[in-house]
Amino acid sequence: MTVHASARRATTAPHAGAAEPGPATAALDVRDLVVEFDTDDGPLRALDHVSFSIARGEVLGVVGESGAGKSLTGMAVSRMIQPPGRIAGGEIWLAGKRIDQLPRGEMRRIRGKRIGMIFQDPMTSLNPLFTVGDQLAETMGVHLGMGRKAGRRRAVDLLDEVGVPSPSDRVDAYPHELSGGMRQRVVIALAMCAEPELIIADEPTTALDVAVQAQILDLLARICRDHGTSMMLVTHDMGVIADIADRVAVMYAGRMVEIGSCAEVTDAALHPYSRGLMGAIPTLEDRGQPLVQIPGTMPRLSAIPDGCSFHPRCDKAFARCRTDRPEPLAVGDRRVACHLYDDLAPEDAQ
Amino acid sequence: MTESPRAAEPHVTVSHLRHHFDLSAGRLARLVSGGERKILRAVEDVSFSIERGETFALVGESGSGKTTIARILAGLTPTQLGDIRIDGLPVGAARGRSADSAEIQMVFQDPYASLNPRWKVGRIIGEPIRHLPAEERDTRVAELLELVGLHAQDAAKYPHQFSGGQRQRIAIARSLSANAPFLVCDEPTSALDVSVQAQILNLMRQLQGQFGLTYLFISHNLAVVRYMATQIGVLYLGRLVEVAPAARIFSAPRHPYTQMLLEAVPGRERRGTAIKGEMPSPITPPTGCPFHPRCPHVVDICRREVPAFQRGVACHRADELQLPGTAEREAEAL
Repeated sequence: MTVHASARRATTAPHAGAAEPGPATAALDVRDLVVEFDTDDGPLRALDHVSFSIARGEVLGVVGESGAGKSLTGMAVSRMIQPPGRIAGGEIWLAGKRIDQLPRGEMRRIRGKRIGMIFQDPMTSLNPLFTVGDQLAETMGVHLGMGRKAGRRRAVDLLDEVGVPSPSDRVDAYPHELSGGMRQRVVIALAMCAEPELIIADEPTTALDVAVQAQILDLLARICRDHGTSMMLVTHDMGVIADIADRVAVMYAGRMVEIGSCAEVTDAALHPYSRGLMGAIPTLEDRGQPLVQIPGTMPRLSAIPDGCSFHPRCDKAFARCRTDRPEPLAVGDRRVACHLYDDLAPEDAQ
Repeated sequence: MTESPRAAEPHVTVSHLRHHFDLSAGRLARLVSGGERKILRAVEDVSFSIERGETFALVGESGSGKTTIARILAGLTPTQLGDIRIDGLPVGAARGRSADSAEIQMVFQDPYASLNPRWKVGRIIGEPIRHLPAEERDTRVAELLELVGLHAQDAAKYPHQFSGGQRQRIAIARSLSANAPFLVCDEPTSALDVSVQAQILNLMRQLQGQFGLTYLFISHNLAVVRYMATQIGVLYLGRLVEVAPAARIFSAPRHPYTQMLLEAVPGRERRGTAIKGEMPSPITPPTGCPFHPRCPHVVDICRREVPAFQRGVACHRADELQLPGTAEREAEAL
């Protein structure tokens, strides 16, 4: 396969550069999602009015630093948040069906069938006591009512599709007999075996070496293209986002500060935090200047500042940033939560 | 010890380093079960040198031997075979010269594991200079804390009171306290968030400029290596396959494995890759060139003979191959 990146992107990304899909056409639509953790000192707000949507066949990258809430967003969408955490507000729509209030039993039928999941460590998803073929067949038995024999045949096909060599032998292998990259391929096969509308991939390549990572990213891009599956890709690695995402959402302290097409956000970020984040990442070209440093660190959930949560670290902050919380504003096809971009901002602020 | 030739020779010279780990079961168990000896060849005949004030980066995938080399250089793993010299003197001798000039210090990947949680920061940073009088030591610790961007009062705190990035600053301050001119840094920013990584990388470059430090920098992240390194050595299955100035590695790689690593870096410009397979086990390395089963340019001789490391590259076909660098990759993406 020697397709150029541009060609590859054009085929995977019919929506690249387009505006956000409306709720009717979106595979996933999240509105004003609030997640809180109950503590002795009252509730801590971990996700604060997060809104985004993902079109069919689109890859949305969610990026941010540790503790920004990116994994939690994925967990909330798949309804895997455990007490003391809870969804305290907002709506989650999966292909036109509201799922944030479904009872547990009904949600269990959706999870794994209509939402597939891939995590950083393949061993969290694989049972070490069963062969990979058994695990695939079981999943298809539960979600598609497929019989044992048919399931096994389909498992061989799936392993072949995700690039496991000699699949008819490997179907009887136990997870420990496979390398890390091969295990992650099996997890991808598990996530896609019931043909879900949405795959949530949380740091799917972080534990892998760079060469294996490239293979897995190609595989994920191909699956989304061939099956029209949407993907929410959570990662801290902007390179991975730029590689396969169509749009990217930047999170900071439980809020989504900017969302837009991947090229726009990586090349010309609007929010001062995303701008700093992009400048802090070393690249393969020698830019001949020091990396951008954002002073300070992200605040704890218990000490989120008033107004814009980024204002103590922002060199563009003005009076209103300290008191008023910025709401997401449309700027072109992007949305950005920053006072610099509304009409009341001081003339010279930007 | 002669006084003058310091500048004439490289600061650090590593020659014919070899390290094998014996993973075999005990002799009796082997006799009973008929099992064979299992030798993990972590490092095979690695030689390189680092000029004073330069950063030499070792890159390669997990299992390529990066960390073993770092640990041998830092004296944490005994040298099995090979020779390490600092300023032309064997490392042991250099260390024996005087107690206050530890020649090599190390910065580790995980700042949560490399600082003793029961010691105050002042004691941690002062440990390499514990022979100094208390007053002198405290002054030095305060100076170092300010140098790495913390406060002198932080000496009285414990490691758990600091974030990951601040802890890595403490680890750097400790490595500088005894004036070691050579730091071995094993993935110093891999455990950190990108904004914190930027702070630490900038700090390391600033300290290098200020004190003329020499770094051995180990990382699997090629973009980080691009930012830090002056020279780069590419490791594959315990062997150096290519050594060159950083800019040259990226603009014109000469070993097919180097080119594969560059192609695999994720980003908008990455082409759909033709990367084959995974790195074989270092217990049963392939015959001939260790990279031949994955190499797109393989010919007969590659399967039979281990290529010699000559003029910066270990490849039978180095002279005839024209491999594209990252500049071509960007041009093609446009």
